[in-house]
Amino acid sequence: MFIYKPREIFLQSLQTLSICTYLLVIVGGAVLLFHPLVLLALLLPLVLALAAAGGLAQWRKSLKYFLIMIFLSMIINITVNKMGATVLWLGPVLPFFGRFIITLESLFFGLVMGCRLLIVFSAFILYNLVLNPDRALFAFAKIFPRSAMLVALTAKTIPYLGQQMQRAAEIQQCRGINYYRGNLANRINNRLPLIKVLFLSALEDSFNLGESIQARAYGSGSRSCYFRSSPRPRDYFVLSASLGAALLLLWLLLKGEGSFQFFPRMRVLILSGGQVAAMVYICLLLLVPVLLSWGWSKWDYLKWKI
Amino acid sequence: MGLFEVENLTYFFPEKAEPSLKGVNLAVQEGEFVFLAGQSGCGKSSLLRALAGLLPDFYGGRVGGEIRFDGCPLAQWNKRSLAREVGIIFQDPENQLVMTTVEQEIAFGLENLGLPRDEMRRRVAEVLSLFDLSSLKRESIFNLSGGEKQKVILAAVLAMYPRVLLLDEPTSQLDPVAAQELLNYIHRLNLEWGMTVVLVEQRIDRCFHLADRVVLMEKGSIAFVGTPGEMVRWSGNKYIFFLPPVAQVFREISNGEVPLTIKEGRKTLRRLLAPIVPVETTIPLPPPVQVKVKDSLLFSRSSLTSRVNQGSVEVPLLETRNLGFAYPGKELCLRGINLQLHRGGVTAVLGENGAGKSTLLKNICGLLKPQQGKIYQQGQDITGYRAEDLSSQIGYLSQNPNDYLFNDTVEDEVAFDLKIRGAKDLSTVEPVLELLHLSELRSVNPRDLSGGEKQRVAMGTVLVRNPDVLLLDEPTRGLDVKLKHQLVELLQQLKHRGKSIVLVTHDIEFVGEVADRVIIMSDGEIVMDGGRQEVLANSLYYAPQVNRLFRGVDHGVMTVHDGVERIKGLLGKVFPK
Repeated sequence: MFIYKPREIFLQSLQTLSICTYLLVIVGGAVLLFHPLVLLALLLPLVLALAAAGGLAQWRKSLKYFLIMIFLSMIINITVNKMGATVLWLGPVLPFFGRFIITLESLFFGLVMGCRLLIVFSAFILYNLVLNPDRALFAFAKIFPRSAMLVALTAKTIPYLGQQMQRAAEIQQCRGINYYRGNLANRINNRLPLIKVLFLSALEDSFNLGESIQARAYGSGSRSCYFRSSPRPRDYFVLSASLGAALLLLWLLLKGEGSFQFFPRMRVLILSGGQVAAMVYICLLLLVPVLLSWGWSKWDYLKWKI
Repeated sequence: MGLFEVENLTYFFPEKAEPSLKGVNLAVQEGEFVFLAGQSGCGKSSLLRALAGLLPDFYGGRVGGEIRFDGCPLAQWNKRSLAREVGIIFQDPENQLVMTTVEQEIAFGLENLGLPRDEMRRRVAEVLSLFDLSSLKRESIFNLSGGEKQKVILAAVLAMYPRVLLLDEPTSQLDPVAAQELLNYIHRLNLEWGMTVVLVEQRIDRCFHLADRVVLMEKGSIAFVGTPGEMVRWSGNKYIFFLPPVAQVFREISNGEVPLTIKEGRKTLRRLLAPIVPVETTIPLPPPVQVKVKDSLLFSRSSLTSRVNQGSVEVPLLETRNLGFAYPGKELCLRGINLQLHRGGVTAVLGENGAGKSTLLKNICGLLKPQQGKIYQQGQDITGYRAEDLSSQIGYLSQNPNDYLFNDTVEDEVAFDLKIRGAKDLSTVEPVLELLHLSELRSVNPRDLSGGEKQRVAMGTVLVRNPDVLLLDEPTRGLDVKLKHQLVELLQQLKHRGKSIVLVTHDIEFVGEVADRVIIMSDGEIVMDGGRQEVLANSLYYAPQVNRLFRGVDHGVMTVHDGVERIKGLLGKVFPK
């Protein structure tokens, strides 16, 4: 589970604003631009940042699920998209979808879309690993007080629900329910009691939690903040690097070099030297938190200084 | 003028025809320790919530009468000021924690009060030291034990510097050690800081003597208010269960001042029995154990011997041989467990948290698969069988009855266990409902029942399958004294029907009442196994209150009834009629 656990790591020591800006630039870049090399320039620092946060092993474990999703997105794309000019396979005529055609362009397009999905998922994982939900609650509560509490509680509730599900599943097994026998319909049917128990318990627990929050004065007026909220040099470094990368992404977007022509035939990947330089700089700027994290763990002097 | 003044308070929960509180009148003085007692569902929690300003504010519903705090009607207090003055703690720590680390959880309420950062830091540091939580300051909430979680909640509430602390069964989810630690803190807060405390608690033996006044509630009304001593004299037979065991013993034989603690009880006992038996004021340590029983040999051998002497060797209903289990990637947490269970017996398994008690039950019922050893059911090897395959022969009742309940009515819930087995004949449902006193509640949604009633419904789902072996994990958790007594009677009935019952519990008084055989586990092993008297009387920690009272006088005394009879017998020798 990608749950925040407090540890002595650089990325967790950053302010909410710094880490959110960093992640927002990466996710924004992946959503707005779909040049394969830009996506690589976003993905590489992101994966290294996951490693710096100690989440690479968990990320790798969930990679198989991501790959299935990427594969599904490719299949959907191939099925509905017939725009490519380089036909690899001419299949049969399918009802509703028409002729099934696999083109090199649609295949590549699906791959790039999957890569964008992977970046968004990975950014979400990094968010959970490095951003203290309590700090996030404080930061977001200023803007969206009710929604922030809801999100914070939801994030906290997920592992509890996991434990509760395990417990309830054991009980239903002891009552004689078999989750693993019978056809698919039977198996789904056998899990219904479990889901009912889970929902009912979650609903009851939420009342108790609500009482506790109210009794401790939540929502009784403006809140103060326990955390140190003044940024440190490390935050300025990460913010500057993130904003620099954002400017370069914007530049690519405005110049039209952040996109890539897939159809009807794929265009060349590199249009200009400036484009390549921008991509390299984006990658390097987004690597700043990773490099600082590495230095932070190696040199105490740097740790104290930033 | 009292700090709290409750005048003719009546409250109806939304869509309920019966009031939860009926014309309650009560005054709580500043610095007082009030113990609020009563059966489950009598309105204790509702009154506590009303005092905290949560009723009707949080739940809605209709309210009559008035509560004044510090002379001002509660409704006129603004939420922030009231939260600053009145702190409340509920039963389950899991449902009170909001943040992810200890430090942040404590700071949560202070942030809500809008205190400056320096003030918050000072208060957080203070309560961390007070509750010895400094080492856990940056610890994730998920990694804490139940006792630590409840301590964090108490620290978080106290950091807000309330004048009043309201506690709704704060120890109901804790083991005895953690519960005692929490109660010690609460007592200290009252004694040393003069904090007003209103405590709802089922562990009467642990908190009755701490109170300045006891308030007994019944069916939404206040039945009695007075000092603990007055409560003892007033209680009569109807309310005797709301007294600690020591007081129950002496109330029967003394017209004067009735002791409330073991220390006072031993003094009284010494005075009463001085002519015939010398009673030391301090509790003598148990004598060296003559027969230390390991691997459950003594009990099983002796019971087996008696069965052999009767002419036939009975195959055990259930047997484990050299059972060992480890969770993935961990060391063995069960080692060399040899256990034999025969028909018609109640076996209690005691031990500290993490001793392997619940793991043992889960191995037996098939939820966990042992890595070592074998399990036999009436001679048949059932090692590795799944729980669903064993569910008709071995019934397992977990700690939380909510995990069972999802059907619309009590009757459907109990019948569900037959229906999933494809049974057409549901005639066994009725006797089970009757046995558990659930017939009148058959059409009620089980989720709307009280804790004790839910526990009985969960028990019904197990009994309807008519299993030979019943495994009960902490069956008394959250039950009031009267319900515990009913559970004792139920287990005795089931025992006489030939069931073999194994219960894991921390409730020593309950074990003293119900068990025939007691097993003590430590670090995954059985360290003691024998008859109830043999094990409990030889134990310093695992001894019921009445046994400790009589230690040095008579080791065989386990229950209040035993105690009363023994004293009457001894006094009869001195003062024959």
